[in-house]
Amino acid sequence: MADSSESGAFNDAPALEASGIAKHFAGTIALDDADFSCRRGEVHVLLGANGAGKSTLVKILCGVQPPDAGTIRLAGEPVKLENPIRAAELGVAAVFQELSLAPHLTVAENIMLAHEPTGPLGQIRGRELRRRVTELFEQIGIDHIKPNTLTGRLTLADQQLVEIAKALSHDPKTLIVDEGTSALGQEEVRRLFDLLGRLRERGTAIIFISHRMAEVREIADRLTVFRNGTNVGTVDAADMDESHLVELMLGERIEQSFPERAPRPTDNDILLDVDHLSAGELLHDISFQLRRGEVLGIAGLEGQGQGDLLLALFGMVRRLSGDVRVAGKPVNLGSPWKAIRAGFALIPEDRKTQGLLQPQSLRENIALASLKNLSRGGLIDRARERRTADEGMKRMEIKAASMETPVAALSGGNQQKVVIAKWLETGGDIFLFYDPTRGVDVGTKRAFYELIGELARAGKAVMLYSTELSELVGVCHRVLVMNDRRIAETLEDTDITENAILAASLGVRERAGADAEPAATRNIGAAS
Amino acid sequence: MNNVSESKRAVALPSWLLQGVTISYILLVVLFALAAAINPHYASWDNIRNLLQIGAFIGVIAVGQTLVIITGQIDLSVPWNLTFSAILMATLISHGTSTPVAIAAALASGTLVGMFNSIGTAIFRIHSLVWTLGTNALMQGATLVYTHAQPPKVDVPPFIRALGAGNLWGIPVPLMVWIVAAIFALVILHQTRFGRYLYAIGNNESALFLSGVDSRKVYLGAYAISGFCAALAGIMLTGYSSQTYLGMGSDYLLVPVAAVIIGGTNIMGGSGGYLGSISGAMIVVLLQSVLSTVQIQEAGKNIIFGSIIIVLLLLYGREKLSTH
Repeated sequence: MADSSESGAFNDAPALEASGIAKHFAGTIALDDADFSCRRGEVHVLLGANGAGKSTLVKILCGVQPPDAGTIRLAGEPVKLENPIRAAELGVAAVFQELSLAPHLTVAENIMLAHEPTGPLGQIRGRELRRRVTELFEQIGIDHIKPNTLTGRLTLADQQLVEIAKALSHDPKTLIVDEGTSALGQEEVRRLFDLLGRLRERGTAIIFISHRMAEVREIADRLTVFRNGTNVGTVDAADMDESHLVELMLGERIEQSFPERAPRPTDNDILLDVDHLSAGELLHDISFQLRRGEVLGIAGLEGQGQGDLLLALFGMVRRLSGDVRVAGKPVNLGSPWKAIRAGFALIPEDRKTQGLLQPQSLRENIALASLKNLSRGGLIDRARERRTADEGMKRMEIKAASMETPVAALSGGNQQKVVIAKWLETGGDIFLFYDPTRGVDVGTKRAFYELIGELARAGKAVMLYSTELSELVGVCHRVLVMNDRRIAETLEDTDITENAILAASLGVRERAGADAEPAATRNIGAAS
Repeated sequence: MNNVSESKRAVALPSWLLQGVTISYILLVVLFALAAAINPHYASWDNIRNLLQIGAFIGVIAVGQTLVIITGQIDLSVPWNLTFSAILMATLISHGTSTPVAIAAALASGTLVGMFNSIGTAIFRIHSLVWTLGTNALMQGATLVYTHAQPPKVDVPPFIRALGAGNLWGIPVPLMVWIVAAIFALVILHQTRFGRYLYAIGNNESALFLSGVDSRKVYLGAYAISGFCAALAGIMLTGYSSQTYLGMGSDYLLVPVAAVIIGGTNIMGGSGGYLGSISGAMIVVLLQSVLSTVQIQEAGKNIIFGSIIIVLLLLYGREKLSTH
């Protein structure tokens, strides 16, 4: 896209400028003398590994947390952003990775929350409220969500769109999008980028945080890299050198983005045999086999049943028909505990609400699913539990002060490792990864790939549902591409390319050659 | 490389030693010292023994209530579950049933009612505030129908009297029952798998479910224990007053809940423990005792009692906010 950073530059002062920002949390430095500025009419991408301070910076910029030191200027004027409402009034709005919507309110009510149109008695004018939201949706090109729908009924991707619409309802001069695309499918991302492009032309300053280089490459005008709480470099997108950026982010060079794959099993040791599995409207006639030591990818466009397939195998889907055998024995998938007994382990989509007991310790979280093995007559063997937690932490290289640290105090990547450590303890054989690298930094992603390889080498079977094409290509031995809730195609070995997966997901017959346009390498599916 | 965001807090305390417990014990000591300063009689062994005896009834009920509240639920069926169990026992005795069988029947009845409570939470997913209050009304109705609003006049057997009012080596028997119940609660909460699941449900039921634990069974256990405790308290109260009467449970709707909350257990579930409920029960008893000796009208006492609970909850609430 054209560099439009000059088009809106009739005012010399940047739309948003933060200088000398410092923030400490109980002895930890989150931000240290950090500078950052964003011009009118530019998309400014903020990069950094987890814990680099970018989330803290964003929270300060939109008034969620006050800085310990430093000044923030909007269009040259020093301001105090005491709270998010004040920040919105001053023209700073944010979209966060974690959704902040009330599930029992309608879409329209959520979007207009705290700035509803009111009548003379302070009553909310419902019709006007819906009219404004309809108008907003028209402006930003959302046509498939009804303002009257209960928000909790929407898919994660649609909720993310509502979140973005909510931020835009304030008509912000500066828009912060923190991991806003992580739940979106290709089409929604495209729509979002079109929208951001239009906002950019109108002179909105956009701060964009993403871990997907393909997106960054496409949308960025400038990039700023944070490391250890400070700005370590700002570059124009035109001068961007990706390996240099990664170096800046990590402070060390990563040679290749994917570790060596575990060898593909050659014997015919079939661990999982799924035969004509169907589930009402959710899954149609799914058949495949999975060997020990194999990594099987599940790909497809958004909502093609990838997630439901994993959930069905984990006993979370009712009215299943068909046969599922583990190591030759038929298994009953009526509930998670039956699935676990059969050897399944699920690393769920949303670790915050589904995977972990946030206020409880690492020890308790790691032991949770295997307490039966760690106790005698209902009494927990504390020593064994501690040993288990310790082994889990070492094996997953979880960085924490101690095993008594509450999980809530860990970074996202480390939290994800806790979920996996938990399953390693149950002796699970078939690991179902439900989009595990969403919203985690480059270093943690790599640790994930290594772990998947390690599981495969140890004779476990892995199913990886991912929304990142490059990941499926880099990690899997075989990829099932789903379309319309059935398996459309199975790709093996060297046939697994981003182009091939995309073509199969779209139902394209002749596959594009190796020199297909790079836009096709964007991520494709998302949570269903 | 990631430790910037991680080392914010490194708490090495067991979950049951969190702030609320400490506050409640400090408060108990301060309250007791104040009471003793105003009236030295308070520090006498006779009085302390008396307070512990009264506290035992609340304390026993609070065992079940603590378990239920840790799951994020509440048991408001205690008053009439307790009364029904006690009257059932008295009726059986008046018809010549042996004491052990009558006691067992009362405990079984209480436990069954508790299990009925879990149906609402675990299967129908109706908030326990509503469902257990419904159970309470149901048991009230059952009691009235069963007794024709006329509890049986019985000669309470000596064993039951001893449970409620006896002394052994100078120590009240109800206190001994309480101590056993307290040990039971502490072991359950901190040493068993079931206890761990109670906290897990309170924090995040779906995480527990996805870890392969049938959370319905955990609710069943918590409510069954709560029902058992209510019945046990009913038996002890029968012994204490040497009779059963329709209003015998009326003090135990919210007082045990207050004891649990004052003891630092989070009303939303997930944290706290029975250690705090012990001091919570004693604070409640001490407050009631002090208020009953000063010359204030009943309404005034209620206002003071309520205000103190609100102030305490605010104190704990601040604690939570500041740690975020």
